[in-house]
Amino acid sequence: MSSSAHPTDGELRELLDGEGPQARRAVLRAHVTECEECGNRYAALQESRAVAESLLDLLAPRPVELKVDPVIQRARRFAYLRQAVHAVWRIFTRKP
Amino acid sequence: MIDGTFDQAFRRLFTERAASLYRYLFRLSGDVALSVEITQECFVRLYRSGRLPDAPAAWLVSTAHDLLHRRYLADEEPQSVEPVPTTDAAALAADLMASAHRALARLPERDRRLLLLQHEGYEYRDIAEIEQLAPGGVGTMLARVSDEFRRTYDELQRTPD
Repeated sequence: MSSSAHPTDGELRELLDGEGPQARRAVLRAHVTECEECGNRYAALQESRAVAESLLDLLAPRPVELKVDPVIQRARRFAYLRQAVHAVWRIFTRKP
Repeated sequence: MIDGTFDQAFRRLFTERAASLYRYLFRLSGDVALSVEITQECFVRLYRSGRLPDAPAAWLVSTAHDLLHRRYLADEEPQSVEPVPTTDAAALAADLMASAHRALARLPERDRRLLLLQHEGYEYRDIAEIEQLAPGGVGTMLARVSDEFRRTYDELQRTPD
Protein backbone atom coordinates (compact mmCIF):
# COMPACT_ATOMS: atom_id res chain seq x y z
CA MET A 1 0.00 0.00 0.00
CA SER A 2 1.48 3.38 -0.98
CA SER A 3 1.02 6.34 1.35
CA SER A 4 -1.70 7.82 -0.88
CA ALA A 5 -3.55 4.57 -1.68
CA HIS A 6 -6.25 2.82 0.30
CA PRO A 7 -5.58 -0.78 1.33
CA THR A 8 -7.35 -3.57 -0.52
CA ASP A 9 -9.82 -5.93 1.14
CA GLY A 10 -7.08 -8.55 1.11
CA GLU A 11 -4.72 -6.26 3.01
CA LEU A 12 -7.44 -5.38 5.52
CA ARG A 13 -8.21 -9.04 5.99
CA GLU A 14 -4.51 -9.76 6.56
CA LEU A 15 -4.55 -7.08 9.26
CA LEU A 16 -7.63 -8.66 10.79
CA ASP A 17 -6.01 -12.11 10.84
CA GLY A 18 -2.71 -10.81 12.18
CA GLU A 19 -0.86 -11.88 9.05
CA GLY A 20 2.07 -10.12 7.39
CA PRO A 21 5.04 -8.27 8.88
CA GLN A 22 4.42 -6.31 12.05
CA ALA A 23 5.63 -3.01 10.54
CA ARG A 24 3.21 -3.38 7.67
CA ARG A 25 0.35 -4.09 10.04
CA ALA A 26 1.22 -0.94 12.02
CA VAL A 27 0.95 1.15 8.83
CA LEU A 28 -2.38 -0.46 7.92
CA ARG A 29 -3.74 -0.02 11.43
CA ALA A 30 -2.83 3.66 11.41
CA HIS A 31 -4.54 4.11 8.04
CA VAL A 32 -7.71 2.33 9.17
CA THR A 33 -7.86 4.57 12.23
CA GLU A 34 -7.51 7.76 10.20
CA CYS A 35 -9.51 6.91 7.07
CA GLU A 36 -13.24 6.64 7.69
CA GLU A 37 -13.92 4.75 4.46
CA CYS A 38 -11.30 2.09 5.21
CA GLY A 39 -12.32 2.03 8.87
CA ASN A 40 -15.86 1.19 7.83
CA ARG A 41 -14.70 -1.49 5.42
CA TYR A 42 -12.44 -2.94 8.09
CA ALA A 43 -15.36 -3.07 10.52
CA ALA A 44 -17.53 -4.78 7.90
CA LEU A 45 -14.85 -7.39 7.24
CA GLN A 46 -14.47 -7.89 10.97
CA GLU A 47 -18.20 -8.48 11.30
CA SER A 48 -18.29 -10.90 8.36
CA ARG A 49 -15.46 -12.88 9.87
CA ALA A 50 -17.15 -12.94 13.29
CA VAL A 51 -20.42 -14.16 11.76
CA ALA A 52 -18.59 -16.84 9.76
CA GLU A 53 -16.73 -17.98 12.89
CA SER A 54 -19.98 -18.20 14.88
CA LEU A 55 -21.71 -20.20 12.15
CA LEU A 56 -18.80 -22.58 11.76
CA ASP A 57 -18.66 -23.01 15.54
CA LEU A 58 -22.23 -24.31 15.29
CA LEU A 59 -20.99 -27.06 13.01
CA ALA A 60 -18.45 -28.36 15.51
CA PRO A 61 -18.32 -32.15 15.60
CA ARG A 62 -18.83 -34.17 18.73
CA PRO A 63 -15.43 -34.67 20.32
CA VAL A 64 -13.75 -37.99 19.69
CA GLU A 65 -10.67 -39.41 21.32
CA LEU A 66 -7.85 -39.68 18.84
CA LYS A 67 -4.97 -41.81 20.12
CA VAL A 68 -1.49 -41.85 18.68
CA ASP A 69 -0.43 -45.37 19.77
CA PRO A 70 -2.94 -47.28 17.58
CA VAL A 71 -1.84 -45.12 14.63
CA ILE A 72 1.82 -45.96 15.22
CA GLN A 73 1.01 -49.65 15.69
CA ARG A 74 -0.91 -49.67 12.40
CA ALA A 75 1.97 -47.99 10.58
CA ARG A 76 4.47 -50.45 12.08
CA ARG A 77 2.32 -53.45 11.17
CA PHE A 78 2.47 -52.28 7.57
CA ALA A 79 6.26 -51.94 7.79
CA TYR A 80 6.64 -55.47 9.20
CA LEU A 81 4.34 -56.85 6.53
CA ARG A 82 6.33 -55.12 3.82
CA GLN A 83 9.59 -56.52 5.21
CA ALA A 84 8.07 -60.01 5.31
CA VAL A 85 6.87 -59.76 1.71
CA HIS A 86 10.32 -58.60 0.60
CA ALA A 87 11.98 -61.47 2.51
CA VAL A 88 9.69 -64.04 0.89
CA TRP A 89 10.25 -62.43 -2.50
CA ARG A 90 14.01 -62.65 -2.06
CA ILE A 91 13.78 -66.34 -1.15
CA PHE A 92 11.69 -67.21 -4.20
CA THR A 93 13.73 -65.13 -6.61
CA ARG A 94 17.12 -66.30 -5.31
CA LYS A 95 19.21 -67.95 -7.97
CA PRO A 96 20.33 -71.48 -7.16
CA MET B 1 14.00 -47.62 10.40
CA ILE B 2 12.17 -45.19 12.70
CA ASP B 3 14.39 -43.45 15.24
CA GLY B 4 13.40 -42.06 18.62
CA THR B 5 13.67 -38.43 17.50
CA PHE B 6 11.19 -38.97 14.70
CA ASP B 7 8.89 -40.91 17.02
CA GLN B 8 8.84 -38.03 19.51
CA ALA B 9 8.33 -35.41 16.82
CA PHE B 10 5.53 -37.49 15.33
CA ARG B 11 3.78 -37.83 18.68
CA ARG B 12 4.07 -34.09 19.26
CA LEU B 13 2.63 -33.36 15.83
CA PHE B 14 -0.22 -35.77 16.46
CA THR B 15 -1.06 -33.99 19.71
CA GLU B 16 -0.92 -30.60 18.02
CA ARG B 17 -2.74 -31.36 14.77
CA ALA B 18 -4.91 -34.49 14.91
CA ALA B 19 -7.96 -32.95 16.60
CA SER B 20 -7.81 -29.89 14.35
CA LEU B 21 -7.58 -32.05 11.22
CA TYR B 22 -10.55 -34.12 12.44
CA ARG B 23 -12.68 -31.01 13.05
CA TYR B 24 -11.74 -29.60 9.66
CA LEU B 25 -12.64 -32.85 7.90
CA PHE B 26 -15.90 -33.15 9.78
CA ARG B 27 -17.02 -29.68 8.78
CA LEU B 28 -16.04 -30.47 5.21
CA SER B 29 -17.67 -33.91 5.02
CA GLY B 30 -20.32 -34.00 7.75
CA ASP B 31 -19.26 -37.55 8.55
CA VAL B 32 -17.70 -38.40 11.94
CA ALA B 33 -16.52 -41.92 11.08
CA LEU B 34 -15.02 -40.85 7.78
CA SER B 35 -13.27 -37.88 9.40
CA VAL B 36 -11.74 -40.08 12.10
CA GLU B 37 -10.66 -42.67 9.54
CA ILE B 38 -9.02 -40.14 7.23
CA THR B 39 -7.32 -38.31 10.11
CA GLN B 40 -5.79 -41.58 11.30
CA GLU B 41 -4.83 -42.66 7.79
CA CYS B 42 -3.01 -39.36 7.18
CA PHE B 43 -0.91 -39.91 10.29
CA VAL B 44 -0.29 -43.56 9.44
CA ARG B 45 1.06 -42.48 6.04
CA LEU B 46 3.20 -39.83 7.65
CA TYR B 47 4.66 -42.31 10.13
CA ARG B 48 5.37 -44.82 7.37
CA SER B 49 7.26 -42.17 5.45
CA GLY B 50 9.72 -42.00 8.34
CA ARG B 51 10.29 -38.24 8.20
CA LEU B 52 8.37 -35.05 8.80
CA PRO B 53 7.69 -32.87 5.75
CA ASP B 54 8.81 -29.23 5.69
CA ALA B 55 5.26 -28.03 6.29
CA PRO B 56 3.59 -30.87 8.22
CA ALA B 57 0.22 -29.14 8.73
CA ALA B 58 -0.12 -28.41 5.01
CA TRP B 59 1.04 -31.94 4.13
CA LEU B 60 -1.59 -33.49 6.38
CA VAL B 61 -4.40 -31.42 4.91
CA SER B 62 -3.29 -32.06 1.32
CA THR B 63 -3.14 -35.81 2.02
CA ALA B 64 -6.57 -35.65 3.67
CA HIS B 65 -8.02 -33.86 0.61
CA ASP B 66 -6.63 -36.58 -1.61
CA LEU B 67 -8.10 -39.36 0.55
CA LEU B 68 -11.42 -37.56 0.84
CA HIS B 69 -11.71 -37.13 -2.90
CA ARG B 70 -10.90 -40.77 -3.54
CA ARG B 71 -13.55 -41.78 -1.02
CA TYR B 72 -16.17 -39.52 -2.60
CA LEU B 73 -15.34 -40.91 -6.02
CA ALA B 74 -15.76 -44.43 -4.67
CA ASP B 75 -18.74 -43.87 -2.39
CA GLU B 76 -21.96 -41.97 -2.16
CA GLU B 77 -22.45 -38.35 -1.07
CA PRO B 78 -21.39 -37.39 2.47
CA GLN B 79 -23.86 -37.71 5.30
CA SER B 80 -25.91 -34.76 6.47
CA VAL B 81 -24.85 -33.16 9.75
CA GLU B 82 -28.37 -31.96 10.48
CA PRO B 83 -29.34 -33.26 13.94
CA VAL B 84 -32.69 -34.57 15.15
CA PRO B 85 -34.17 -31.97 17.56
CA THR B 86 -35.68 -33.13 20.86
CA THR B 87 -36.75 -29.79 22.47
CA ASP B 88 -37.68 -26.29 21.28
CA ALA B 89 -34.18 -25.03 22.06
CA ALA B 90 -32.69 -28.00 20.29
CA ALA B 91 -35.01 -27.40 17.34
CA LEU B 92 -33.86 -23.77 17.12
CA ALA B 93 -30.22 -24.82 17.33
CA ALA B 94 -30.85 -27.49 14.69
CA ASP B 95 -32.43 -24.88 12.41
CA LEU B 96 -29.42 -22.57 12.76
CA MET B 97 -27.05 -25.45 12.15
CA ALA B 98 -28.98 -26.58 9.10
CA SER B 99 -28.85 -23.07 7.61
CA ALA B 100 -25.14 -22.79 8.38
CA HIS B 101 -24.54 -26.17 6.81
CA ARG B 102 -26.54 -25.32 3.70
CA ALA B 103 -24.79 -21.96 3.35
CA LEU B 104 -21.44 -23.70 3.59
CA ALA B 105 -22.48 -26.34 1.08
CA ARG B 106 -23.44 -23.66 -1.45
CA LEU B 107 -19.92 -22.25 -1.56
CA PRO B 108 -17.59 -23.56 -4.25
CA GLU B 109 -15.41 -26.34 -2.87
CA ARG B 110 -12.21 -24.35 -2.72
CA ASP B 111 -13.92 -21.42 -1.00
CA ARG B 112 -15.33 -23.83 1.55
CA ARG B 113 -11.91 -25.27 2.25
CA LEU B 114 -10.36 -21.82 2.61
CA LEU B 115 -12.98 -20.75 5.12
CA LEU B 116 -12.63 -23.94 7.14
CA LEU B 117 -8.85 -23.90 7.12
CA GLN B 118 -8.78 -20.35 8.39
CA HIS B 119 -11.38 -21.22 11.00
CA GLU B 120 -9.13 -24.02 12.24
CA GLY B 121 -6.30 -21.53 12.65
CA TYR B 122 -4.13 -22.45 9.68
CA GLU B 123 -1.73 -19.67 8.77
CA TYR B 124 -1.82 -18.01 5.37
CA ARG B 125 1.41 -19.69 4.28
CA ASP B 126 -0.09 -23.14 4.99
CA ILE B 127 -3.36 -22.25 3.26
CA ALA B 128 -1.40 -20.95 0.26
CA GLU B 129 0.58 -24.18 0.05
CA ILE B 130 -2.46 -26.42 0.44
CA GLU B 131 -4.52 -24.55 -2.14
CA GLN B 132 -1.56 -23.64 -4.33
CA LEU B 133 -2.24 -19.92 -4.09
CA ALA B 134 0.10 -16.96 -3.95
CA PRO B 135 0.41 -16.10 -0.22
CA GLY B 136 -0.63 -12.53 -1.04
CA GLY B 137 -3.93 -13.78 -2.47
CA VAL B 138 -5.18 -15.60 0.63
CA GLY B 139 -6.45 -12.49 2.42
CA THR B 140 -8.32 -11.30 -0.66
CA MET B 141 -10.02 -14.66 -1.08
CA LEU B 142 -10.90 -14.96 2.61
CA ALA B 143 -12.44 -11.48 2.62
CA ARG B 144 -14.61 -12.41 -0.35
CA VAL B 145 -15.54 -15.88 0.93
CA SER B 146 -16.52 -14.68 4.41
CA ASP B 147 -18.79 -12.03 2.86
CA GLU B 148 -20.30 -14.63 0.54
CA PHE B 149 -20.87 -17.12 3.33
CA ARG B 150 -22.58 -14.55 5.48
CA ARG B 151 -24.72 -13.30 2.57
CA THR B 152 -25.78 -16.85 1.66
CA TYR B 153 -26.66 -17.61 5.27
CA ASP B 154 -28.75 -14.43 5.54
CA GLU B 155 -30.60 -15.33 2.33
CA LEU B 156 -31.36 -18.82 3.64
CA GLN B 157 -32.67 -17.35 6.88
CA ARG B 158 -34.98 -15.03 4.96
CA THR B 159 -36.17 -17.67 2.52
CA PRO B 160 -35.74 -21.13 4.05
CA ASP B 161 -36.22 -24.12 1.75
